[in-house]
Amino acid sequence: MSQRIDRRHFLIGSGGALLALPMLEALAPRTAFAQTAAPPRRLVVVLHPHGRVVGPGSADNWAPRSTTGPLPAAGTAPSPALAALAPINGEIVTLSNIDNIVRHTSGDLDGHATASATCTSCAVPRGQAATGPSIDYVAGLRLRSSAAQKMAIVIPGQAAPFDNSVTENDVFLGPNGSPGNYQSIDPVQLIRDLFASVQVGPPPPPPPTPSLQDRLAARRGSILDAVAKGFTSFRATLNAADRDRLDQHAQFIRDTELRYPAVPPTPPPVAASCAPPAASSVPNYDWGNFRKGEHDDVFAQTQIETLVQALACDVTRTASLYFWSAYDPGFVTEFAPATSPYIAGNWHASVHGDGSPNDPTPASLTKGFGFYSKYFTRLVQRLAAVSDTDGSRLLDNTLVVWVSDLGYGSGHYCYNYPVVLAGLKSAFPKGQGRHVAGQVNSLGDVYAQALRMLGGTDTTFGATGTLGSAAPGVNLLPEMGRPGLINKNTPLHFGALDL
Amino acid sequence: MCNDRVHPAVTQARRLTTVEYQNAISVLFDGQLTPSTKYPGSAGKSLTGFSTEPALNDVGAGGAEQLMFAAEEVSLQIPAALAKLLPCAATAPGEPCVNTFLDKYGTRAYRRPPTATERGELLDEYRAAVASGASFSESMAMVVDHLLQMPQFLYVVEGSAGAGRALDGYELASRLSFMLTDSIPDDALLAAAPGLTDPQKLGAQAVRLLASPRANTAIARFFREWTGTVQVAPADKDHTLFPFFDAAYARSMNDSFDRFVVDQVRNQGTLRSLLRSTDVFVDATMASFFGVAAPPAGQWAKVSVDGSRYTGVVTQPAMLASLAHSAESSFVFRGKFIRKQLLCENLGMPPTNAQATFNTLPMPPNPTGKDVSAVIVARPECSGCHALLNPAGLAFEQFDALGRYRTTYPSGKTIDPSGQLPNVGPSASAAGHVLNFFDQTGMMEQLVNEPRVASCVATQIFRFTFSRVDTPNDVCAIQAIGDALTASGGTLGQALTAMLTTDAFTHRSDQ
Repeated sequence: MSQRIDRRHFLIGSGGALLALPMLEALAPRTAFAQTAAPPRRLVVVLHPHGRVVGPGSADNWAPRSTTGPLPAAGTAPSPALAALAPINGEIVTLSNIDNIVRHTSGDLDGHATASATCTSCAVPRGQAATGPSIDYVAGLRLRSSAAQKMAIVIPGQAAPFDNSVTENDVFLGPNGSPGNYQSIDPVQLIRDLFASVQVGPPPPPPPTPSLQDRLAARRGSILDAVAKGFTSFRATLNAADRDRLDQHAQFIRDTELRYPAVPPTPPPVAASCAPPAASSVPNYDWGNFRKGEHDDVFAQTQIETLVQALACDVTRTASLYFWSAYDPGFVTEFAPATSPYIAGNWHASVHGDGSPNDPTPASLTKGFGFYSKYFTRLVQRLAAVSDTDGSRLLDNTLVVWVSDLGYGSGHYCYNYPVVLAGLKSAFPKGQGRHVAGQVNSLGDVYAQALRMLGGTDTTFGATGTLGSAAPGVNLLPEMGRPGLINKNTPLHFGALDL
Repeated sequence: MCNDRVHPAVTQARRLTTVEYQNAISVLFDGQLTPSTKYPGSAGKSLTGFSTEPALNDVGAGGAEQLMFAAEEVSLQIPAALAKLLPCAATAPGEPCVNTFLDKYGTRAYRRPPTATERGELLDEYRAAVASGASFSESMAMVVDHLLQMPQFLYVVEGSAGAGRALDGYELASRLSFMLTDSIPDDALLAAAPGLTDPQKLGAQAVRLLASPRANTAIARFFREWTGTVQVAPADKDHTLFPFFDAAYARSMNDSFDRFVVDQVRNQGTLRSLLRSTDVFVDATMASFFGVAAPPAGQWAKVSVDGSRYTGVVTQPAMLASLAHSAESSFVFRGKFIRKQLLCENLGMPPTNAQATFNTLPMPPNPTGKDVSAVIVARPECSGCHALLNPAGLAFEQFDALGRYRTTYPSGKTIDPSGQLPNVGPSASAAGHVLNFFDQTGMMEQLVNEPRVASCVATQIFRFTFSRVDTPNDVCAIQAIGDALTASGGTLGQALTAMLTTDAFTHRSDQ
């Protein structure tokens, strides 16, 4: 198969300066190659923390409208918080009245922890700990081409020093609430990790004498098999709890082993526009010495391009863009040329309004939130600009779901989650360019519907039944939910969305 | 009560943290190999504040592959280092040499001599590598690749114990080493391991390790994670207010903290000196920070600073900067440290509408910390916790977001650090008395004499050692540590090693 290799430097010009947005035409492949292979379906989850950062109440400015109906024409801001989505109004569906019902099973626990543990998994937490896999993982198992393909990769959307411990990385989850497939915070390493095995062009001839690295790579499957067997023999000496912990680890080894068969398969064909980003194109960050927020814009652009290419090159079919810098993003460019109030202040505290000397006014919070809207738009635009295996747009075969850990960040409320859907146009019978604000639905409904849109038959996701049956004996947490909705008879699913 | 029976502690298998992994690679290979940066780190929120909690270090969906990459990265260095690591590789490569390797490095990696089965697994790896056409050094790299992915290396794990059993000497060596050095045992400790069920020999090894530079990491980690002191970075602070605070400055500030706490443990520091010392460690940068004479370029010095301002660990700049916002101090963060981490008070969670309520509170122009606090505490739904923690935090208002001493706010208003700290009882559950103080030094002077503080510090040492929240079953071990802290002349080092004589340390139970 003919492959077009376009190793362009997508972010930085020769002088190292950041190219201004928009730059889509420059990024788009110049030639769409005729392809016949049916493109796979894919899922991208975008998640930002703190939900709607203004509200609840009259100040809430996220929803484009109060009732179900069309969004404004492209180019018109759908709402103050989503103003940056104006160019893609016709490609999205915004949802109101989406609640995280299962979070109310967390008893009297408060804060972000149980919201994080449930917002993508909809599984009843154990204390503050997550117990189920998140939607990207469930979809990933189904969408991957084989067990060898990476799945449910989580790509950080905001910059952080390498030694900055990521304390908010328990949102994307594997089986039994185990940590998700978080990728390196280093954008260069991320590119190397994702694209090392992507073959563009004819395969290179085997080296006359394999290096140690070649030999280690060739024996990965064998060594992993031996390690997994070692786990099995060692576990017999342990108690039940420790066995469980090691068994889970061993299962991940077995999963990994499948990616490294003794005889590597021929790399599958990739989309015409597969162009692995060059690691050399990533700005040379001074990771130990950068100022708060100053890299977030170039970092987000880099990561989005890497994500899009990971889909285009079929490295994965499920990826998440996680704006994980939950507590203290700077939003530098949202306020430029003025100084962002969240440089001196703290975004998390401002959303909560906890008394820190910040700027918690709706106008500033909305402006800061614009960072997420801007990069969601960019992601959608990039997916639209890249050709798929059949010449269609990558976006046409990719469902994008933008969610959050909370409904309203001001008080850890778990109703009215800000949800935006995009892509996979054929799965929206009523079309896109709509706002849906009908009956209350749960996040479980959203994810079940997403799985159906991707080809499944799911009617539920995560815990099922009612709050009382899902967590018998637990004191529910009604205060943080939709007023009047939460009691032991509240269902965890309300049915299909009006899409 | 504590002498009625054996009181073992429950422990869980836990994967090494990134710091422990890095230290372990260094000890395992005599510093000849560089640890991989691909080792997967911790995830999630700590209940105790300590990074070693088992759930934080569980392997996730991508973790097994990352561990494989990390093992490969280290293994790739084997051929170049093999001459130093395994001299027989040059003279007599072959299975006897592999066995020599397993005797030394297998024992280090597994913290005990590998069993016959375990040796067989690694020897099979060697044989398979040779069969694949690999040279001896390449085959040894594959053995190391295998070794570094095994649970015996990756996990701090002990055999099942049922209702309770005494640990053997190797298990004690491992516990001791991870507690005091954040790493695997060194050769001296492994050599002594068979005899470590003798408390005197265990104590002697503890003293040796505590005196070793290898203990610095663990000591610093204990104090950092207990106090919430992060590695302060330029990105944490407002660069318009603190344009001088660059990476080098941050390194100096962080190093100054670590040097202080290590000095406290090494040089007979006590609970009193920990909380009341006027010592600080300065290089040229920190000397400028404190306004004292700078030591010669590139050197550090211990100096005493103004005792009317500075008081022990709680006024170390890195801690004050950690418990602060980007541009301003935070009496809430600092107060939470005093109430939750120094008094071990369970403040519970804020009411669900706390933040939304705060948004509606009217504030005076340019409010001082006390102004803001007064508005919060006036709300009945807020006062339950904030009446307890705000006064403690307001005592430190004379330190700005970077930990610099000041007497006025940027608005020009004078800072009043005096206050009353309520409910300082004999225990976290008992109602207590009020401490009246004029400033932070006065408050700390009274707190250092509170039995509850010693008990809480003992609790923190227990949590650090066992990587979990304490339960009522752990009271005897905590009491023993507390007794060592409050004994006449009791030092922090003695408190750390007091743990070694407890049933909790020497025994294990599964539930």
